Amino acid sequence: MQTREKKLAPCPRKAVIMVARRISCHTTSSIPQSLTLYCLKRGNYIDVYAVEGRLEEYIGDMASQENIAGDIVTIGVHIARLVEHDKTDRGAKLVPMLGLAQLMRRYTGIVKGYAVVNEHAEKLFLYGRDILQESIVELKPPPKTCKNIIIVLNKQLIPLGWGRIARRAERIYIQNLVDAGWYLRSGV
Amino acid sequence: MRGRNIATAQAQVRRELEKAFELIARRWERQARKLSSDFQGLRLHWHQAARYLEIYGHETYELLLAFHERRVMRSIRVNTLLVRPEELERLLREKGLAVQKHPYTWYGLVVKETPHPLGALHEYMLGLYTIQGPASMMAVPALDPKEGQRIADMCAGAGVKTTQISQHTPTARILALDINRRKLLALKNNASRLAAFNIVAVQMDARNIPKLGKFNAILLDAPCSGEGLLHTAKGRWPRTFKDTLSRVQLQLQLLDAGVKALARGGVLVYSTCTLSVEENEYVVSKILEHYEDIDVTEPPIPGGSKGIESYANLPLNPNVKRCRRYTPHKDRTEGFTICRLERKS
Repeated sequence: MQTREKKLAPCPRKAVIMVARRISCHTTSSIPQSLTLYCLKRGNYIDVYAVEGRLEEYIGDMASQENIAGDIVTIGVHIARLVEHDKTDRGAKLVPMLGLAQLMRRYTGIVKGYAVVNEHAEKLFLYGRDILQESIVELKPPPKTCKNIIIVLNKQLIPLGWGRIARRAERIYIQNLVDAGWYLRSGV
Repeated sequence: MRGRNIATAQAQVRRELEKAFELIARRWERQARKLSSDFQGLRLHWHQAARYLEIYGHETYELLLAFHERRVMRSIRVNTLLVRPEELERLLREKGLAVQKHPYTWYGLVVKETPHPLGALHEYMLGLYTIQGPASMMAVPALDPKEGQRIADMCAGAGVKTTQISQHTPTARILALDINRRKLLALKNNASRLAAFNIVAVQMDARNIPKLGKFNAILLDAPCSGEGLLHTAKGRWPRTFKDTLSRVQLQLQLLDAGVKALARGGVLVYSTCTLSVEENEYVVSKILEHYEDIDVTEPPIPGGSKGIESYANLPLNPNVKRCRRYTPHKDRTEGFTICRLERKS
C-alpha cells in the first residue's frame, strides 16, 4: 500500500463510533484520547489501527509523506476489522482483534463483558478451541447491545482473545472468535 | 576527507581494508589455517581466523572459539508495558523454569533451565516477554531514548529492538524501517502481541532515511557478517575477506544516511552482532572523518570491554575506545559491538 494511493486515512466517524461502542461493552471509558484510529481499505474489508499521536508525527511533514519511497506496513496496533455484510443492507460488522483487547488492558482496564477461564481451558482456547461451561471461573456478561461478545481472560486476568457466549442444550459455552495463538499459527 | 561524499570514499575504503588484510595475512596465515583445521566444526575460514588473531592474539582467540553454545546466557526480555519482571519471574517458576536476573539490565531474565521451548509458553504468546540475546538487549539502553522524541529504527526487522524502544518510551514516535516486507509483517504481529502502540513501520531502503526529516534518536542495528554468533550452529559459515568488505560498504552507506538524518543534540547507536573491527570501529572512524560535529560517547550501560583502538595499521579514531564490546568468553553473551554517536547541539 502506498500512501500516495490514499487508501490509508484517519478513520471516518462511523468507524470510530463502532470501535467506541465495542470498547464501552467492556470498560467505563472510551477510546483513549492519545490514540488516533487509522483505516486501511483492503478489498471488501477495512483494517482499523490505533496509534499514539498522528501519522505525520512519525513519517514527517506532508512533503515527506508524498516523497516516501516505500509502503506503510503497520501503524501502531491492528485492533479491528470492519467487514461489509454480503447480503444485507445492515452496514459493516466489527470484528475485534487481539490488539483491541491489548488496548483495553493497557489503557482503560476491563470491567465487564469478560470471562475468566481455568488453566485447562486456557490451553485449549489458545489452540483455537471453544470453552465449556465447567471451565469458566467467572463470567461477567456484556450489556445486551453487545451481541454476547466477550473478552476471554486467564486466571492472571491477561486477555487470551475474543469469544462469543452461546447456548447449547441449556448449557452455555464460549465460541472461539480469535485467540492469541492464532498469530503464531497463521505463520506471518 | 572533509566535505567529500561517503560514496566517493568507497574506493579509499577498499584500498585501506585490502592493505590491512595483506598485513594480517602475512602475520597470521599459518596459525589461522591451523586454527581453521583444529576447529573444523566451526567452519571457520582462515581469513576470519587471521583477522581475529590480529585482535586477540592466539591464546585469547582459542578461548573464544572453544566457548561452547551452552555456556552463553540464554535470555528473555520482560515486556514491562504489560508485566513487572518479578511477576513474570514468579509465573515462569510456577511452570518449572529456572530463571535469574540479567546481569546488566533490570528487565532481562536469564533462563538457566526450561522444560518447554521458550516460544511455546503462554506467557510468550500473551506478550509478557520476547526472546532476545543478552548483549543485543544492551543496544537500546545505550541509545537511552526519551519521551517526546522522534525515533527511528533503521533496520528494524521483526521489531525486537523496536518494541524494546517502545518499552522505554511508550509515547515517543518510533519509525521502523526495513527493506524486507516479510520481516515487517512479523513486526506488525510483535507490536500487537507486545501492545506497542507507538510504532509505524515502513518498507523502504534505510539509506533514504534523510528524506524523512530529522530524528532525535536513531538505532542502526546494521546488517553484518554475524561473526559474533559463532557459538551457534546457524552462525557458522566460512567468511572470507570479500564477505567482510561487502558488509563494510553497506554499513558505511547506512551509517552515513543515519548521521545525515540525526538532529542537533541527537544520539545514534550503531550496533552489530560481530566483533570485527572492520565492521565496527573502522566504519565509525570513517564517518567521524566526514562529520566534524559527530563524536563517539560512552554508552550508559554496564558490562563489556572497550573498543579496539589499534588494528592492522587501519586509521582508527582514538575515541572508538568508547565503543563497547561484549564477548562470549568474558561476558557469556553473543559477540556484539555497540558504538554511541552524538551530534553536538
